[in-house]
Amino acid sequence: MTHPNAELLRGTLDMLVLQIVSEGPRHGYSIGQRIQELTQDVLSIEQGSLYPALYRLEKAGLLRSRWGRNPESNRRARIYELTATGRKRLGRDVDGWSAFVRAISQVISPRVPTEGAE
Amino acid sequence: MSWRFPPWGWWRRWQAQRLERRMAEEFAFHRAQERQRLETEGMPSRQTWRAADERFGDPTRIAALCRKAALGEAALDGLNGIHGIMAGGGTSMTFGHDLRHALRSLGRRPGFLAVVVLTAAVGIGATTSVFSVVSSVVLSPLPYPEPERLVRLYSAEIDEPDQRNFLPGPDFVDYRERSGAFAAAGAFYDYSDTGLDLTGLGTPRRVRALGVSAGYFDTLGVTPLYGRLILQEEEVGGEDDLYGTRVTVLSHHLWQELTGSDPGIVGETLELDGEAYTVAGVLRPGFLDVLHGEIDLWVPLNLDPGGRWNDRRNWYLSAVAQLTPGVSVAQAQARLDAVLEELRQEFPEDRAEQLVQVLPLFDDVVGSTPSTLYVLLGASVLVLLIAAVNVANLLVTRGLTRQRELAVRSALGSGRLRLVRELLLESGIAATLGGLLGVGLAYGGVRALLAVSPESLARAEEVSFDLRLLTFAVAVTFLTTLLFGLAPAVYAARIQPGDALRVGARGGDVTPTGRRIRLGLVAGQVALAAVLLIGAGVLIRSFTALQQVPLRFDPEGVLTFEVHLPDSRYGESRKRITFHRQLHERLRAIPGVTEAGATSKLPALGPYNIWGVAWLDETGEEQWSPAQARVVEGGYFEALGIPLLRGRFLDERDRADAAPVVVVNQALVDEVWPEAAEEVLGREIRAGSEERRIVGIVADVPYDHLGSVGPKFYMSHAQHGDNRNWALTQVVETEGDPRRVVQAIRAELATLDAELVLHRPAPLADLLHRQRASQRFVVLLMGIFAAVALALAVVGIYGVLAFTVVQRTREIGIRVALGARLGQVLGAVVGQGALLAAVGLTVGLLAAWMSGHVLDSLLFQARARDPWVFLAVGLGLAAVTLLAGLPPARRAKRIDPMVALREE
Repeated sequence: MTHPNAELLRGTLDMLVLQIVSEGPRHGYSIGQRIQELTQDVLSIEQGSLYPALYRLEKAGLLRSRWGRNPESNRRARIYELTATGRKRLGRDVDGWSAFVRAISQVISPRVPTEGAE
Repeated sequence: MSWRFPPWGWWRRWQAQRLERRMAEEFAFHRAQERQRLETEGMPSRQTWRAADERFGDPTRIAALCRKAALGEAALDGLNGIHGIMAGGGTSMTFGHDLRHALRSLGRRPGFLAVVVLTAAVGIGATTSVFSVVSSVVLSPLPYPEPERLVRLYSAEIDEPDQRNFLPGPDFVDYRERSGAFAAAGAFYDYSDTGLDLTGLGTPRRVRALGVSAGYFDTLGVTPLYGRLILQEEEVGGEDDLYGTRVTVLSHHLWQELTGSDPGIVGETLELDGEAYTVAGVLRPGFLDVLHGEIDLWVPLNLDPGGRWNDRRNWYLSAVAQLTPGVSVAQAQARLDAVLEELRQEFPEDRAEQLVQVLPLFDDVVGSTPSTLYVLLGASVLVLLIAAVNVANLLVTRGLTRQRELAVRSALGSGRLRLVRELLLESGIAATLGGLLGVGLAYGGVRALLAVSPESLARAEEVSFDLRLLTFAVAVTFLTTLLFGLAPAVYAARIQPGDALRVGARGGDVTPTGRRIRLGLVAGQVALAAVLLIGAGVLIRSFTALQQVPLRFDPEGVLTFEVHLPDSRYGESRKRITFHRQLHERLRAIPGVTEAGATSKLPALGPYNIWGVAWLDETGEEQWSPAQARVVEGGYFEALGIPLLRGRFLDERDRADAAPVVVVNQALVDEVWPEAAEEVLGREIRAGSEERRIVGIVADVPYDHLGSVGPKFYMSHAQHGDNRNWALTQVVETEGDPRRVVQAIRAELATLDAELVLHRPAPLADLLHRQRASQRFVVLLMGIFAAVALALAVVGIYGVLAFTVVQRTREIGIRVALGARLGQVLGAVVGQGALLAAVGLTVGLLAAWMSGHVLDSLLFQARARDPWVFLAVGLGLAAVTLLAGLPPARRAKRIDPMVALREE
């Protein structure tokens, strides 16, 4: 399994987080788990590096957080949810990303089948 | 450096701290969740720790990134970075910041703070107050400034250098003038039992007078309230005069009684023994003439070398002196020896065999070993140590619960120095609060102790804090608090962040050392408490033994009082004898009175008049033996219930003109005629400077409060009343409360002689009681020490066991879940307590056993190594220790396994 470029990861992590939180409030660990789950462990990053992203997004006003209860263990956990700004930003980013992916795909995809043909 | 708007800085710092706490908790939560997940995937629990840590990544770096993300560019380097910002505010801001942080940290655990502060305060307060009272009231018999400079002067003979003889007047003057050893020296004439008749001011009365030289008051550091004291030029009088110039200094109490506190008395005259004396001054209240007790007034001695009294061969004066500053007792002795050597040249016949002795006044009054002081000082230090150990234990325990917090902060880049500073501040605040409260307690304690102290000891104005001990106590508390308050910082530095973070949120012992320290401290505390309790126990046994000393006479229902007969009207002994006989007849006629008599000295209140008796042995050789003399009158023996063993009591037959007789006690018979006790009656002995026939033998009564008995002989006042104007103490036996007859007695006295004063009426039982008061007070104080020690030890043991239960919640939960019986769970907790108690007790009992000799000199009919006391203390302390383990054990019992497991 190849690891995607770290630079690429950092740029996309914010968007992933926003996307996951948009599904509903979650604590940090659960956000990390969800990323791994959705990416089938392709994005197997250091779990801790999720937090600077969370803090940055919160500072930027895209997320907000509060102390809540982890439903499983009843232990105190920091719960993150999306702000209105965050939701708007997510929409914009997703649009941009989709456009980007489409563009790149068009450049890259044709070569893919040729790989094994030689 | 740029100036910043302070609230902005505070806001930033507050934000930064909130962030640190949030990160610590969030990261910990994250890893806990990851561990749980790994476990459910089947990873062995032990491996999950490391795996979760690895997956999380480097917390330091992540935290730094988070700070940067959350706080912006300014926060570069964690908390150290915050300090970077604050550098603009200077170090005082750093301190202020740390102070606030420390206060908040303490405020989060008010219970803990309260226990530390209270323990420290009790340690300081109890120790200082008890010791202050003891040292200044009970054990400072010299209520004078600079008592260590006070000495007593005696003469002695070369053969018997330990003698404490009187000094001739001129010798005293020579020592005073020529030696240069004394800043002040005072002679006094205290041989006389009699006083002076005071007339010319209100009711005539007999007063206790003391003839003193000019330097007497200066020596004792007394200043007058009004007027002046006695001057050196007043030490002159006529050839036959004992006293010098006719001036007098009044005591405060006499001045109050005579004039109702009128300062105008100074310069007035009053009559003493029919001569006019000018009042020179009035002394301050609270001046206590320790050498003589209650003196009413002082008059100058006649030290004129031309006077009859001041013959070089008349040894009649006692003397005290205040050493010149810088002169030691030994140096003073050397200088006096030099003066005496000069006198030997001048008067070879009289001085060749003479010595002069300089003795510290304290030793003279107390004896050379103030062991009570040392014992109580030792007890104070023990209590202080126990308190310090408790504080240390609390702090170490607290430190353990904070390991995690500190490890996280350390891991997140908080400088060690920073943590140390913060912890120091926290401990410092706790120590300061404890110290302040302790000083307050010490102050209140002194007041309270004075309130319960026996009347005779209540010299409130003299009690001052023992500053040395207060300083010591506060210093010990501070050092302990600061030292042990740092324990968490030591842990935090030693522990790998990963390890600490793995420990459950409630904290626990990571290192076995920490655990050993805490358990050792508690065991040590039990040991110290054991030593104190044994000391107190032994003293209490000694005291009860003292209470049970057989008095051999019956003080119940007996009233005592004095009547002083002024020489002006009772100059002839015949009149005094008649007065006493008439008085006793009248007293016996009072309803409720069963017997009346009088004595020159009551029993059990101290030795007196050790005159001795002389007799002829079988070979016709004269023998002499020391014996105490008593002059008695009326039904003295009957009133006190002193049994007659042989012959008869003294009675009306023994008139002044009858053949002189004497009654002796059994001890004298045993001493003089141990073989021929049957033939004692009718024998002649010389007693009270006259040949007297023995007419009776009475049982021994003790002459002091320790129950000591010794040879004693009793003479009839009728046959010895001309010796002097005896100040007899009247003894009235009554049915019921002796105080009820005081009024009737006063009335009878008035009909006999309206001008006489009923002096110091008091039940005999009260007088005996007062005699033991100081001893009882010492026992009470030791009891307080022991109780405080016990309480602190219980708190210590309870604290450690309670902490253990919290720490082992999970383990206990698992054991209960696996079916452990309640008894086993309880046993585990109580067992630890029992182990602590056993170790502590063993050490404590051994220490007490080995140091037992310290107490020996204080004990009366009790052994310092009393096995019963050891047994009682051992069992009692063990029981109390186990009881202290019960509440934590009960808590352990209540642990719900499900909750306990989830907690982790």
